[in-house]
Amino acid sequence: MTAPPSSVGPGPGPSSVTASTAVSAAPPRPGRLSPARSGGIGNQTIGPAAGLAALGAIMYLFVSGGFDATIFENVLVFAIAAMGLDFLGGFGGLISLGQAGFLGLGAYGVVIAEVHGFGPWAAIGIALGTVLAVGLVAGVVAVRVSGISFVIVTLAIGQILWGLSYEWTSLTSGDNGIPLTASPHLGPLDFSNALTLHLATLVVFLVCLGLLVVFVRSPFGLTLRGLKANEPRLRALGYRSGLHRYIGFVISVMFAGIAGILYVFANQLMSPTTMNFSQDGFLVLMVVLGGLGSLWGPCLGALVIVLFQQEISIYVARWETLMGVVFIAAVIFTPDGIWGLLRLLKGWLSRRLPWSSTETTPADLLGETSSPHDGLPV
Amino acid sequence: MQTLNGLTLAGIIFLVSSGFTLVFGVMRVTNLAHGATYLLGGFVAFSVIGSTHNFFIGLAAGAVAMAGLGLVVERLLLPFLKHSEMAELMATLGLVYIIDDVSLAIWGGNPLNISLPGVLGQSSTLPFRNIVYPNSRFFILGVALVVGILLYLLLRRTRIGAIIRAGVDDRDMVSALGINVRRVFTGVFVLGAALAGFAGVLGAPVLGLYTGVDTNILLFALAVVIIGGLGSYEGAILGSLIIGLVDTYGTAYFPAVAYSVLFIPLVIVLLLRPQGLLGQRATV
Repeated sequence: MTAPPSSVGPGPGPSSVTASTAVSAAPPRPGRLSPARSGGIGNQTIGPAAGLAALGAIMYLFVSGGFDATIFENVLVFAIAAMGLDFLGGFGGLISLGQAGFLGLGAYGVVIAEVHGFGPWAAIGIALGTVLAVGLVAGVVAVRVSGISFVIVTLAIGQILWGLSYEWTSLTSGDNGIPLTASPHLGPLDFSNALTLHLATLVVFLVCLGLLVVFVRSPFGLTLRGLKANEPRLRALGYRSGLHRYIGFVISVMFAGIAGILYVFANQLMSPTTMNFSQDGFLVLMVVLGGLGSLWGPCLGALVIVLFQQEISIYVARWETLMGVVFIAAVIFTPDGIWGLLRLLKGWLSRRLPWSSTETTPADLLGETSSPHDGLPV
Repeated sequence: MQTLNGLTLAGIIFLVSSGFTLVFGVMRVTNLAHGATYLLGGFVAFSVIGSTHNFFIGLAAGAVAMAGLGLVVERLLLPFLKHSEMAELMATLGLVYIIDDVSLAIWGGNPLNISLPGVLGQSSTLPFRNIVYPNSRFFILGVALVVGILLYLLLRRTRIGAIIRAGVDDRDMVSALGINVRRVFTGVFVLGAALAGFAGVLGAPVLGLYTGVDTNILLFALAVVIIGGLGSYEGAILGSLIIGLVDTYGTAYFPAVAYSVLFIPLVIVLLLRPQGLLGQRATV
C-alpha cells in the first residue's frame, strides 16, 4: 500500500520521476538476494507506477487533511516500528514483544525533555540518545537468549519500561500522560502545521524503509538471516552470532524510538497506554499479519491494525475481541501473512493466466508486490 | 511485615508460574494467555461468590472453569498450530485480547474485590512485635504451601509425575515408550490453567481484580521462569520467592521504580546463567 516502487534499473515507465524521489526508488525488492528472479518486463513499469500511485494517494489524504490524515500518519508511525521489529524478527529470527516499550521511550524522551526546558530539536536528540542507551543496555541482556526465551525476556523489558511510565509519576505524570509543548521548526518549515508534519512523517518513513532495505541487503543483514537459518554453521564459519544479534537488536529498537518520536508529534500526547502490553502485541500482530520477513508486510499490517483500531472501533464496541479472533485466524491459516497470501494469489494467477507477464494485468501488479523473500542460497 | 507480604505474593506468583512452567516444560507451549486465565478465574469466582455467598465454592468454580477453558484451548486451538512454538505463542497472545476484552464487557473496568469469609476475613495480631496482619494472607500462604507440596508429591512420587518429568526431559522418548503423550499434554495444560484460575481467586483479595492485573501477573510469571529456568518446577518455587520478595521490598522502598527493581535479578541471572538458575541448558 505504502510501498514505493521497486524498480531495478530504468524502466520504460516514469523512471525520471522515481529517480528524483531517490529514497523511495532506490530500495528494490526487500530482502531479495538475487536480482530479477521472477519479474517480467511489465513489473518494472507497473511497480513504479503502483508505488507512485500509492504515494499520490497518501499525498492526497494528507493534503485533504482531517482525521483520516492523522490516522494515516499513525499508520506510517507504527509501520516504522513494525518494520524495525520485522528486521530483527523476520530476518534475524528474534521476535521482540517489547518493541512498544522503546516506542514509548522515544515518545517520553521528547515530552519529558521539553517539560524540562529543552527545545524540540534538543528533545528529539535526547530521546534518540535515551533509546540508544537503553537499547544498548537491554540488548546485552536480551541477546543472551534466543527463540522463545528472547520473546519472554523482551516482553519483560517492555513491561518494565511500561511500568516505569506508569509508576514513576514524578517524571511521567503517570496515567494522565504528558502533552507535547512544542514542535520543531526547520528553516521555513513549521512542523506544528499538520500538513508539514504529515509530509515530514512520510519522508522519515521512506528514509527508514530505505535504510532497512539497505541493512537487509548488506553483509550484516545476510549474516543475520544466516543466523536465523542455521546458527551453528555460521558460528562454525567464525561469525560472532551474539554480536550480530546485539547490533540487530539495537537497530531494531532505534526504529521503535524514531516511531515514538513521530508518534508524539502526531498525537500531541504521550501516556502509558501507548506502550502497554496490548501495544507490544499489536506491533507483533502487524508483523505477523503482514508477513514476517518482508518489510512491506509490516506496512500492510500497520495499515490494517491502525484502521481496525480507529475505524472498526467506531462500529464494533468489542473490536479487540474481533482482533484477537483475526489474529488467531491469521496465525492458523496464513503463516506468511497478507504478504504470503499475495504470493499465493500471484502464483495461482500466473498459472491460470498465461498472459500475466504483459504490462497491464492485475497479476503483474501482484507480481510486483510478491517477490520471494525467504530464499537463502548458501 | 514486608517479608510476610513478600511471601504471600510469592505464594500467589508460585501458583501462577508453576502452571506456566509445567506447560512450557512438557509441551513447549508458551502460554501468554496464562495471566488472562488468572484474571478470568478471579472474575468467574467473583460472580459465583456473588450468587452463592460462599468463597470456597467460588474458589472451586474459578479453578474448574479455567480447567475447562484450558481443555477447550488445548483440544480446539493448539492442534491447528502444528507444534510451531512461535505460532502457539502468537495464538495465545491473540487469546489475551479476547479474554481481556470479553471480561471487560462482562465485569466492567472497575476493580472488584473478593473478601474472605468468617475468621479468614479478619486480622490477627502476631504474638511477637505486635503486628496486625490479615488472616487472609496467612490463608493464601498456607494454601500455596499445601498446593506446592501436593504438586511436588505429584511430580516426584507418582507415576504421572514421572511421566511428566520424563516428558520435560525427552518428549519423543516418552512417546516412543508407548505412553499417550497426547493425554499427558491435555492433562498438564488443564492443570496449568486450573492453577492459574485458582491463583486468580486467591490473589484477588491481595492484588485486586481488574483488567490489567493479568499483565502484572504475566510479567511476574515470566520473570519467575526466566530466573528459575523455563520448565523447572523447583525453579518456579525459587523464582517465585525471589520475585515476590524483591517486588514487595521494591514497592515498599522504591515505589516509583518498583517495576524496574524486578529487572535486577533478571539481569543478574541472564548474564550469569541464561538458562535460569535451575534450568537445563537449551538443547537446540
